[in-house]
Amino acid sequence: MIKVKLPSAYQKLAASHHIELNGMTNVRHLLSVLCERFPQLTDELLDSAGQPELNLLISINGEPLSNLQGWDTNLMDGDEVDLYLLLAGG
Amino acid sequence: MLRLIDRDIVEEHNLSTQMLYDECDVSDVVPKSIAAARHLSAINSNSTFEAQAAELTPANAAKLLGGVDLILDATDNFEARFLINDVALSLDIPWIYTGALAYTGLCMPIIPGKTACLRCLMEEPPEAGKLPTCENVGVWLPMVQAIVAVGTTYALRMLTGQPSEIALHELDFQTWQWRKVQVARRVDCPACEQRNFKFLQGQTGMQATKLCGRDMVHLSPEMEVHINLRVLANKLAADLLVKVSEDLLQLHLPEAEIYLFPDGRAFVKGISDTTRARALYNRYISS
Ligand SMILES: [Zn+2]
Repeated sequence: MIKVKLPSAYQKLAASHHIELNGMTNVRHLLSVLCERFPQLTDELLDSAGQPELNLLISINGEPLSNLQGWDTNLMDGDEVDLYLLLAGG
Repeated sequence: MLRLIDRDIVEEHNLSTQMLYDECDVSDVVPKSIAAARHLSAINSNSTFEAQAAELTPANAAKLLGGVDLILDATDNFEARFLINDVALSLDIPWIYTGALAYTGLCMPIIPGKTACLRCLMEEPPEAGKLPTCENVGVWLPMVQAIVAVGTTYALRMLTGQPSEIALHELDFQTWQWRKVQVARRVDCPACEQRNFKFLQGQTGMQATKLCGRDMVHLSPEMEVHINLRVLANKLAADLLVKVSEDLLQLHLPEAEIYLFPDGRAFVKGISDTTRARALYNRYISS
């Protein structure tokens, strides 16, 4: 089982602080499952070309994707995935 | 010395969230940087505050941000932050990213050569119009204060040489979460590794921006210019002129008000059409 924590903007949409998902192979798979389960998140997670949104930062067990294999990073049972949304406001 | 850079003038709707201004600044149409410097000097007359009523552009960024120990980001858009990132890396000056929206705030210090930079986190700015802004979802004032407290704590520790754990912090007042992640540098980062500073080298035309939610257009000239506002005022018809000082010239036209700064920037208030705003600018100011 994978534990996923969404940024608060998403939590409102998903109506849940933490999400637990089974059978995720990699981060790209996780994103597509999140979009299926919470269709209203699709526009936040993916850009118009269907790629992960540029201001979406993901860490796995505290390690950012840029240190791992990016969107193709494999997920294992017990992994904790944190999603951060970089904000432009101020 | 604290150098304050801002392109805006103080408006009534700023007073509830921006604590350095008062109603006199609104009625006197004072540029924000000048108002902020005045209020801060009144609190501490021993410190030096330098006001720069200017828009940060690729043409002036190295001059405006150079010669300091630390750059604090209090901007409201990614365009400015990608420019700050390029300047900070090229001049080897640390900077602190802070952002807030609704009930969420984010903060991360960026130390050239040591930590991840903005483009390690995010290679390019997102598509225009994609992200929510403070104009359409608002910002919760206590969250601004909370995330600024994180940023100033980092700033004071860095300026006094105390070591800090560098991380991206996310605070949220809806879920009461404080999360952080240490972001490593990207081995192929175009900015901090390859030193491609495309936002700093970017060309700017005469930028015309319609300000969200208001009948106002902001105009910013292509090249760095300096206009002597008093000399210009003498050339304009007296009945158009509302006021002139060294910092600001205000014109009252039948269809709009123009507020012009010495660096050639202007706000055209009362219309939302950028082409019309450019036309008025060209007719009264740049011809
Ligand atoms: Zn970088």
